[in-house]
Formats: sequence, C-alpha cells, structure tokens
Amino acid sequence: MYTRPLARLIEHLQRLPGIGPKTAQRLAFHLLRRPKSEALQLAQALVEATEQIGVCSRCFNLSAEDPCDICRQSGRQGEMICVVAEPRDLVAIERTREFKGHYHVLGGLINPMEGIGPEQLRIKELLQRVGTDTVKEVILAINPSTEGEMTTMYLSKYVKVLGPRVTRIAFGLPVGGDLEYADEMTLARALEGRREI
Amino acid sequence: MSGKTYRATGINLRRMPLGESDLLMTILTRENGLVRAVARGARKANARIGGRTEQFVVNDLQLYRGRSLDQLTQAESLRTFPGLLQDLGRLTAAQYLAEGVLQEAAEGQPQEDLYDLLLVHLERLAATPSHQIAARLVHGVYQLLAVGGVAPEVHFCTVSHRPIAAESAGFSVEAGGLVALECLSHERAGFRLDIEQVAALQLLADADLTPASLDWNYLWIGLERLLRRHIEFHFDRPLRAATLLEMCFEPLAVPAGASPQ
Ligand SMILES: [Zn+2]
Repeated sequence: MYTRPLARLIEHLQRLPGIGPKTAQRLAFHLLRRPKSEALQLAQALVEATEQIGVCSRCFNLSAEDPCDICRQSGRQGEMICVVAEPRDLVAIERTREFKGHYHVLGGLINPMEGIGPEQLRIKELLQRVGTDTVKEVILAINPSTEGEMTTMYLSKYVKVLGPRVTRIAFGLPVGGDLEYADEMTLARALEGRREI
Repeated sequence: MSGKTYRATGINLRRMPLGESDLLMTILTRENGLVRAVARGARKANARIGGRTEQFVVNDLQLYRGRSLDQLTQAESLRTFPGLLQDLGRLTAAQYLAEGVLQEAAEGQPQEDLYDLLLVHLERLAATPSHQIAARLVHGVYQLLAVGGVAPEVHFCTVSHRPIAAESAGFSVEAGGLVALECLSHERAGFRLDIEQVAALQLLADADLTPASLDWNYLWIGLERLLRRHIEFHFDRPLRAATLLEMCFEPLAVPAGASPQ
C-alpha cells in the first residue's frame, strides 16, 4: 500500500504512545509535505536528545548534564527534598514556581500487580541522600492511587527513622471545581487534609 | 436506554494509563464477570469520574459496548474500603486477592459468587490487625479458589481418596492437594506438612476462621507459599503481588522450618 520508506516511517510513528494508525499516517504525510529541512531538524533533535540526555546521579531527573541544573542551582534549599514518581511530575511542580528545594525522581511507583517492587525504584538512593545530607523535610508528591499509597507508606516507614519530617502534598478539590460535582473519594480526602485557618 | 448501553455493579481491580489522559479499567462485575473498559479523560485532575476509578472502589456503572473495548460512561460509587489504604500489608494482601481473581474470573458471564466473596474478604482485610493479615489472606485466597472449583483438596488424599484426619500428610501441587503419607512416595514433588499445618489447611474450607487460628501467623505465612505454588501451577503464571509480601511481613521474617519444603 505504501512505498517502503513511508511504511517504515508510519510504523515507527505508530509505536509512540497515544498514536494510532490514522494519526501516524497523517503525521507521516505532513512531514513529507513540509520542507525537507524541517524533517532533518526533527531527526537531529531526536538523535541529540537520545544521545545527550541521561539521568542526574543525585536526583535522577532527566538531564544532559550531571548533576542537573536544579541540583546545581545555589539558591535552592538543600534541606528539603520533594519526591516524585516520574520526571514529568517534577516538571509539573517546577511550573508552580512555589518549591525551592531539591527533588528526587523514583522512576515509578510500587505496583505489586505489575511486579514492580521497591528495589526497582530509586528508593535506596533516596535513603542514602536523606541519610548523608542535612535533609530536614521529605515531601512526598505522589499520586493518591493505590500504587501511590503503597509507595508513600513504604517511604514514610523508612525515611522517618532517618530523622527528617515526612510530609505529603494535600489532595482534594481541583481549583475551579464545584464541590457538588466532586466524587466521594475526593471529598473524603479533602476533609482528611483540612487545615485550620 | 439503547441496546449498546448497559449497567453493572462492579469492583475495580486494575487501572492502567492509556493514551494522553484515559484509563484502561479491569472491573469485576456481578452481572458480566470481568469487563475491560476505557474511562476517557479519567486521569485529568478535574475529571468528573475522579476517585471512582481507584482500585477496590465498588461502583454502579454505566457502560457502552464497544467493538473491542467497552467505554465507562458513568460511575456512582457504592462502597469503598478505606481501611485497605491505611496499612501496607493489608493493601498488598488485597492486591494478591485481586490478582488471583483476575486470573480466575470469566468474561461475559455472571460472577455473582466470586464477586460477593471478594467483597467479604476485602472487608475483613480492611479491618485486620497486622499480625492477622496472613491468616485473612490465605483464607481469602482459598475461598476464592473454592468458589471457582480450583481450590486444593484438603480433606481427602488426592491419590488414594481416603479421608485425611488430624495427621501429618503430604501436599502435591501436581495432584492438587493433600496426599496421605503412605502415598507420598509416588508423588515426587510432594511437600511434607505437620499435623498443625494440615489442620490449618482444613480450616480454610470453612466460611470463616476460628478466632484462635487468626493468630497462627507463622503457620499462615508458610501456607501462603504452598497456596501460591498451587495457584501458579494451576494458572501457569506467576503471582506478581505475592513476591512483594515478604516486604510487608518482613518484621516477622519467616523462621526456618515454618514454611513447607
Ligand atoms: Zn539533579
């Protein structure tokens, strides 16, 4: 149906998350319609990204340098570590510009049914950091899912014995959301996480 | 309601991210057995379905029959088990039960007994103190297997069919249950169980455990390994949740000799 290189391009695009055969076809035709230089730039960006980006040896965020930008910034408070599951969660928190401490990326969450245990995550490395640095607070910014709960319970058990305060971000109503539309689980969480004003 | 839309009562057993913001849910429904359905946009922070997609939430569901996957269009929660989320051991044990049910449950047909039984055992787990989790787990696993007709035989020798009373005996995964000692030599892969272990195994067939037996923690931890072998042999795949149990039972590491084999 397609000439061979086109078929290969579509096949590779289809392997990307969220891209079905239709979208892959559309993307491929789009790339071919645009000036050749654009496609080459994309190809080069792909090559450079995969060749240059690794993980920071301190916080395990994706980074082309080691340690990463965030770990090297002098204005950040080293006594606070915010623990996240994935690099994209770190990005989400950075976007708030509210947090001025350091991060630690676990690389996933404990998920017994998928066979992911604590030893497959960067938990040992976190405990090492907490044990050696002058960390006063570990903030767990982890999803309120079953896997998130498991990971939180596991982490708090092992981090607390090392001394620092362990906190967890609050869960509840989305800003701009309506209380009457909130589901029971979310409302229960919101009540649980209430605070004095 | 159109023919393509249907309602069911179900408990969420598994949720996996799908695409940008969707979830692929595996739900045990009372009416239709295992249902795999997509919850569109469910991972967005402002999704109306919100926490109703969480594991072990029981919902009144409205679904739309799709060509390959159904779509979850509405959910009203009927029941939750907040106690499960308060303890790592309880949660791991609940996942163990869920994984077993995922292997055992049928699709496209009612699973009323399995469904009702799962709720009973999750409810018990959600209120169980740490030192009784192993008992609750092993009993739940056995009962869920029994309702599907795949529990190991605990009252008769699987080789000679003679009743087995208060005595030590063997257990053969291949034969599917207890083996009288005089028959054990024929079963190369047999485990040897002492009187207490046999008695405990036999208790599992009752609808509930005796209060005293709930405290036989080491005994149950040992029998969990045995049941795990049975399940893995029967369904021919590993129970992933089981491998994390050690992490939860870790403060009470199994003393040598307490586990079969
Ligand atoms: Zn870093």
